[in-house]
This record gives sequence, structure tokens and C-alpha cells, in this order.
Amino acid sequence: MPGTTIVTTQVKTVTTASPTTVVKGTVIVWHGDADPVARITEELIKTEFNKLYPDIEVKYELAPEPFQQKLLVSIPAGTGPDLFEWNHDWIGTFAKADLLVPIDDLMTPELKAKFVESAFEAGRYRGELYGLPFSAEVGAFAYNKDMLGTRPVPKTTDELVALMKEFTGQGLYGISVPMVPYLVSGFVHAYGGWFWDDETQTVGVNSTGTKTAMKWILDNFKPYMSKDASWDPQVAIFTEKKAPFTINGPWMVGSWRDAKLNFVVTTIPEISAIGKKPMPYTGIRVICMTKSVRNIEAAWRYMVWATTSRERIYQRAKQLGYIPVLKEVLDLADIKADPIINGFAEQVALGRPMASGPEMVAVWGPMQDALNAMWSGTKTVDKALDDAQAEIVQAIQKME
Amino acid sequence: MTLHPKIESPWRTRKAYWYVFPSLFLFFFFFLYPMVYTVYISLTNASFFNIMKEPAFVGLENYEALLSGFLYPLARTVLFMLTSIPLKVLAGILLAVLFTSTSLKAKRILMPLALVPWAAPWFFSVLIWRGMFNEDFGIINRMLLSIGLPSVNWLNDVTNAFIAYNIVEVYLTYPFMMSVIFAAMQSVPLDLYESALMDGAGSWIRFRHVTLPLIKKPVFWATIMTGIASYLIYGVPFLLNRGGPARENEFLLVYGYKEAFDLGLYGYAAAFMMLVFILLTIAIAFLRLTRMMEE
Repeated sequence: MPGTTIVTTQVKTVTTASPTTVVKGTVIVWHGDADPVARITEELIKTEFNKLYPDIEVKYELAPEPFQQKLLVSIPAGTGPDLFEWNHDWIGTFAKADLLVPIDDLMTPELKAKFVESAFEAGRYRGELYGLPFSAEVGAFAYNKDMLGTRPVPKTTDELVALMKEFTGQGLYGISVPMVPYLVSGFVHAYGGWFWDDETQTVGVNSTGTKTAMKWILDNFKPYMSKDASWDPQVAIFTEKKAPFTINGPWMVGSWRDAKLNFVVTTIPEISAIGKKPMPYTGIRVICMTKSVRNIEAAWRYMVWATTSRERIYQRAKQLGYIPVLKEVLDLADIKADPIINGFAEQVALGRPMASGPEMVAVWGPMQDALNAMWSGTKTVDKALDDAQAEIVQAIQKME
Repeated sequence: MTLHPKIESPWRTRKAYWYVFPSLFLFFFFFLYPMVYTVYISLTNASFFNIMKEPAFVGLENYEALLSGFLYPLARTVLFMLTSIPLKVLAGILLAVLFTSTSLKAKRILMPLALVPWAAPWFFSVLIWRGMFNEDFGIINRMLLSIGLPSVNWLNDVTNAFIAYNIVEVYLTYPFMMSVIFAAMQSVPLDLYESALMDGAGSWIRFRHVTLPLIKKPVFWATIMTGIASYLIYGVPFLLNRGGPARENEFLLVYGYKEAFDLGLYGYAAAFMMLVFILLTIAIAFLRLTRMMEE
């Protein structure tokens, strides 16, 4: 395909370009972060990036929904963004679809050395590098200190359930957990279940572990939660102080701060029934260059800045709790001492990196459907997960 | 000398082509090209993963695969047509009768209010309905609870969600039905009613034997239009709960969309959409034929 050749030749020319050449152009970046997360980057583009590169105009745009589908459709049409920011789990899908520009040729050993190695490697798919990392994230456990008062912080789910029982009623709920596969993954993994495994190339949606974990969630969380377990209502419940506990990620920290919540982030309590800590999916935020890229030099400058700007990484960590993967920021004393970053970091240490194979594109939808069906009771856990398994397996077969 | 100078056909002048060019261009660009492309894609294994490379030609394989996938969304759509079309027509007739009746006061205020669903952007209305159907916070369940009824799981239950689609669809389309029927009723000559009155006909008899026969044609036409809208319904189920719970309330277009853009199976989805198109064409051709035979 002609577009591909143009892109690869351009990549080669960039490496030979002298650093003093003035780079001009426009870079369109799609991200999935609503305010206040996006605000940090928007401001730093003006105050920092544009001082370095006054001739590069960056359009940092909230991606249209549904983000992944919009990318998959717009990049082949040539109307996609130059760069996009998301978790590493999309890399397999986009690389397989030939929609990303490999960046191995642009990398230098000095640049590589700036990142935590495991995070850097998350940008790779089948040996080729497609993304540069700028933070790590996970869904951890958070509680509202004011609501909890003098009660002890729950260390096990038995303690958690007792507290949830105490709080539930009169407009209050025990916990807020949006019922999405990402946030319940910790329980699934602790029970030995899985969604998709890149290593064994198997779907584990109806494995015994997944089924047991889901039953456990319905038995232990559902009685103390709002009936509507979808994202927005659940998020609002914790933010509006209607529940003392939540499981969610660093993207929520900004809103919690805006709502003046007195909150603490820590690890999800140990599951009493099996004596194991939940092992949630962890994600590495990466920036990838798409085949829609119009000006590789300008796009690459932005990519490097956005992943290595000390200020950007520091503020995202300090204000929002995104764990830095840039070594110089990670090693700062006040980052090491920050309780919120530490809360997420402890959870990441217990977590498991999200699968990044292209098969994941077929997993999220049916898995979400299954969660909705078992939550509303329209299907039993077994039936919902068996159906989802069949649908995913069939979709993966159709893909091949 | 000839008395009738030869009138030159407009198609002989080059000007004529320029006049029709804009609409021809739009037709080719927005209708013919996408259609031909859809037929082409439907014969390949195009997907998210190979659209940048060359998708392989697979013949009628996608159409064979439809045998298993097509039936459920089709049955669901037919069921929706069977429930929503009568509801829409009935709502239109009732409101039109109401607004024609002389006993209704404040028509000047009520009539524009009744047209609000038509004036507001439809997706906006659907999103408001979604909030109203929310199980915990929605106003509908709040009202049910306040009069001592149990709250209803509207959008996460197959049957309830289906009922919700019907409610919203009727809300969105009754202004159209009402306006067509209202206009038709205005054109019924008043002396027909007067003579019916003299013959001692009550209001139902007058409606049944005077109004109805005279508005039959416009109502029939409007029903066909709204029927096609029901067949091609997409926005209401998609915005309310994405055709859920799970994939159990997916009508034809929602199913096709999800196969194409959630799962990336462009080839299969294109074949699916071709079948949706062919069925609609057959239905319309059949209707034309029966009408022609009647006349």
C-alpha cells in the first residue's frame, strides 16, 4: 500500500535530520481524559512545549466516542489523529491492523534509558515498538476518611462487608464500583480466572475462576450497591459522599479533589474466603503514532516531550495519582512520599498487566454485556458467562 | 416556411447537463458509490485487521454466514414493527381528533406544545428518556414508587427495554402522524358531517363512516413512512441501552453497526446490510404492485 512506504521513508529521514532544524507543523493528539485530567497537559503545551517548539501547533483533543472504534475507522480513511494516548492494551489491535508507525528507528538509547523498563516494554508488540509510556495506572481501593470516621480501615473483605452493611440505607450505599470488566478484574484473577491470556491464547471468560469471582461479587457487593451499576451513577455516588468506599483509578482523583473529598487510596482488601489479595489489571499509558500522521518530525517531537516532560509527568502524578514511569520523576523524594501515588503503586505491584493482543477487541464488549446481564438478574452468572465465552470465541474465529 | 419551428429538446443543449450535474453528483457520491462499495466489501473478508492491506475475495461466504445471524435481529425488528406501528398510528389519530374537536379549548397553546418532540433534536430527547428510565434515579420509577408501585428495571431487562423503545418511538414520531392526519381531517367537507348529523349519526358513527374513509389514503401513506422508520430504527435502542441487555434487543441496524464497528467485521456487516436493503426494496415493490393492482 503506497501510504505505508511514504511513512517508512519519512521515519528514516527524521533520524538523520539535524536537531537544529526548525520543525513546523500541526500535530493532532486524541486523548480519552475529561477535565481536570486533560487540563494539565493543555496548559503545559502552551507554557512549556510551545516555548521549545513555537512553530508546532498541537491540537490536544478529547477523542470522539467510542474512542477505539473511531480510531479504527478514521486512520485507514486518513482522517485520524497523528497521535493518540491510551493504555497499552490497544497496541496489539492497532499493530495487527497495520495502523501504527513503528518507532524503533526513532529511538535512541538515551531516550530509552529514561523510562522504567517494564513500562517501556509495554509499548512493544511482536518485537516492534509502537508506543512511548508516560504513566502506570490501576483500579485501586479508595475510602472517604470523613465518612469512615474512627472505624478501622478494612483489611479483609469480611471487615469490608460488615462496614458496607452498616452504611447501606437511607440514601447511602456501602460501596461504589462501576461494573466494568477492568475494575472487577482483580477479583477474577484472584480466583484464578481470566478474560483473555496472550500467552496461552485462550479465552477464560467462563472458566471456573471467573464464574466463582462473579458470584462472589454479586453476593458480597450487590446488596450494598445502587441498582444501577453503570459508570456515571456509580462514580457520582462516591463523589457525592453517598458511599464510603470505591474501586476506581487515578483518572478519578481530580474530580475527588474538586469535590473536596477527604480520601485515601490503598489496596483492595484481601478476599477473606480465599485469603488472597485481588490482582487487578494494570495499564501503562502510552502515546502511539498512527498511520494518519501528517508530519512525523513534529509528531515525534511532541511524543518525546509528552513522555519526558518532567513537569507534565510530575503534575499528573502529584495532582492525580498517575504513577510516573519516567525515572527522574519517580525518584523524587516528594513523589516517593506521596500517599495517593503510593496507594496506586502498591496496587500496581499486586496487579497484572492487561493483555494486549488484538483479541482483546472482541473481549470487552461481550464481557460487559455479561456483567450487565448477571447484575440485572436477566441471566445467571453461569449462563451469562457461557454466552459471552461463546460469542468471544466466535468473534475471534471470524477475525482470523 | 414551417408554422411550427422545431422545438429543440433541452437535452440537446449542453446547459441542461450543468443543471442536473449537482444532483447527479450528490447521487453518485452519496448513494451509488457507497452502495457499490458495500456490495464489493460484502464479497470480501474485510475487517479492522486487513482494511489497510488488501481484503481477500471470499465470494458468497459472508452471505452464507448470515443464515445464522440474520434471523434473530429480523424477528426482533418485525416484532417492534408490529407493536410500534399501530401505537404510532393510534396516537396520531387520537391527537388529531382531539385537536379537530370544537370542544377543546386553548388549542393555540396546546398544538405547538404537542409538536415539541418534533422540534427538539431527537437524540437529545432520547438521552433525556434514558435518564427518566434510570432504575434508581429516574423520574418514572420515582413516580411509580410514590404511588406505591414497585420500581421497574427498565433498560436492563429484555421485555421492559422493548417497551421503553416503543414508548420513546411513539413520543418521537406522533407529531408526524398527528400532523398528516390533522391536515387530512381539515380537508373533509363540513357538509358531509352536517348531513350525517341530520341522519342522526353519533360522533363515533361520523368518525367511522365519514372521516375515516376520507383520510384513509394519507393515513396509509404516513403509516408506510413510519413503518419504514420502524424497520430502520437505530437511534432509540442504541442510545437507550445499545440494544441490550447483552445483545438481546438488537434490531437490524444496531446488529449491523455492532458487527461492523464493535467487532470490525466489515465484510460480514456489509453482507448483512445488503440483505436489510434487499428486504426493504422487496417490501416497497410489493406495496407498489398491490396499489397499482387496486387502481
